[in-house]
Amino acid sequence: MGKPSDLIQGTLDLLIFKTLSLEPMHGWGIAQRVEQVSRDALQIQQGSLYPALHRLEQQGWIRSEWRETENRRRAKYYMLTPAGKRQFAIELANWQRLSGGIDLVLEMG
Amino acid sequence: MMRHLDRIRLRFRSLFRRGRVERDLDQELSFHIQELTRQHIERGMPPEKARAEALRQFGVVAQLQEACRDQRRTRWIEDFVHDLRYAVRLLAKSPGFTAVALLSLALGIGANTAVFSLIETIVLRELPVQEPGALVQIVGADGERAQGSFSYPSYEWLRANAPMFSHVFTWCFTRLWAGEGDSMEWITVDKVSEEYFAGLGVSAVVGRALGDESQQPEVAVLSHKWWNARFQADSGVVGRELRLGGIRFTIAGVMPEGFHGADVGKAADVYIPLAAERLLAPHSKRMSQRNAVWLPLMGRLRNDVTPQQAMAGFPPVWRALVEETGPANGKGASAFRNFKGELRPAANGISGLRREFDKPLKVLLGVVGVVLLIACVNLTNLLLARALGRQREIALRLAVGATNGRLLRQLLTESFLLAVVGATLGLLLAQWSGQLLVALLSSSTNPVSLDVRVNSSILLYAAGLAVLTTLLFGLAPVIRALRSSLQPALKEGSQQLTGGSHA
Repeated sequence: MGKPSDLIQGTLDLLIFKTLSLEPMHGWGIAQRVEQVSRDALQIQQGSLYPALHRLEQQGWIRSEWRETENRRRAKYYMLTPAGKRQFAIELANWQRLSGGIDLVLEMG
Repeated sequence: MMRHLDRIRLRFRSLFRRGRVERDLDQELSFHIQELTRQHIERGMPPEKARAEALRQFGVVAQLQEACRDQRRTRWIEDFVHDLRYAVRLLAKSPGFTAVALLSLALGIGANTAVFSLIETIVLRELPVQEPGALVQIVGADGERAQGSFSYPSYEWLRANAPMFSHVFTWCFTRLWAGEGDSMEWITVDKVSEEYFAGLGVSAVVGRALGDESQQPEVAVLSHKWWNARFQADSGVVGRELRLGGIRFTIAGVMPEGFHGADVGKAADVYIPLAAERLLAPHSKRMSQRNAVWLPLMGRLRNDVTPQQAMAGFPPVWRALVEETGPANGKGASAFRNFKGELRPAANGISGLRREFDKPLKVLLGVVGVVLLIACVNLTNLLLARALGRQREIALRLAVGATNGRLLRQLLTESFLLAVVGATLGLLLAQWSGQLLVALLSSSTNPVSLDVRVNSSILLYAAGLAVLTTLLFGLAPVIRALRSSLQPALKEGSQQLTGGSHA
């Protein structure tokens, strides 16, 4: 198994933000969603997912709430706060600038 | 804004609802494991195997929990409280060591704080008056000697002829019998000039302060301290009669608490007008003599005059002052002519004590500083000896995953606890020994009255000493402990141990 650092620093936050911008979700759901959508190209390690969720919550970007899942089980759902939505926009712009730059370099004649 | 409120709410939650937060974390992680197990079962794995596989994939739960806890911003407070409790338990286990350590720290810090509080009171503290920075003392000096006493005619001349001052004032400290019959008391008195209180910018808390009383000089104002002691802070005291040196004075008011006059170390119980001199000493000629130099001169600079401007403009004023009112003949006359006039900052008042004890006190501060240093060295040795006995504990803690920084903090917390308790005891000691030092400076002919009490700067000084001593005696054992426990053999051994438990 790969280490948490397999994901570029900061991208995990971006994946969490994106997933939560669609709907509130629990940790398990976030990991599943990312794996499915990326067709298993991206695997989120629990070892980095949960600390990241707790950090983002401490920073006030996301907040949490206990809810029932569709299988009537209690789970801790995370959702973006208004500040988190703004932060998501900033980080998304940063990411696009960065990846655009990398693409340009890689396409070099 | 919301975001900050959220953050504060979370910090409180992590600190005070710790059990709840931990339970939440447990449930959150076990939900994940259950879902993982369910997924494996759905894909056809037998239930027991699915659960084991999920746990294997999930990794060491305790480690993950630790990582999540580390995200809480209150982590360091929790750790600190934990370390503090641990340190208290540990110190309570060796009362002999703790007593010796606290005693030597208390004595060391106490002596330093006592001497510092004396320096603070005599040298550093500003007068409790309006804009003390605008006060200057008029002094004649020639580089070697300085002359700060002047004749009464000099005072009158300067008051009328110095354009840089808004007020010029003087005073004379003396002792008088107060009251009559059995209630007579030998008190300290400042005879003050017309603009003394106006120049200092101090007003009375009861009644009025003194101004120009030359028409009727039999009025007196009381210091707050003496008002309390003699009149039990009776606010009906204004208008009452007070006999001073056998003459009837009328009480006009009470000065504020903490005001002890412009001369630090010579606190007056009662203030009367300088004009009363002619009643108390009717045969004295010193109010008119140019040769009798007995009065300090202080001035308050006008609002629109900077100290530089005042000093630049002062030499001609000084020459005229000496010419018109200086000693007319004798040794004093030639000495005065050779002096140059100076304006010295007097925000902290003037003080014979300061002239006399400034240097000795600073030397004393150096000496008690060395004493504290020696106490620290002794403590370091004691702690090093103790640390030897704790190597196993430290190795074990490192082995179960404590980081160096974490251990460093824990060991320093112990030293810090010692230093803080030591400094608190030292502060109590300083309070008492400060009074003792003042009593030693004092004599019946030259009474010294100083308001040596713990204030914010003295507290700050003691706290600074506590931190400094913590680093001095606390760091060496810590460094040593960490160095010896980082030996590779020990480290390897511990890893095998943890690896084995998971296999």
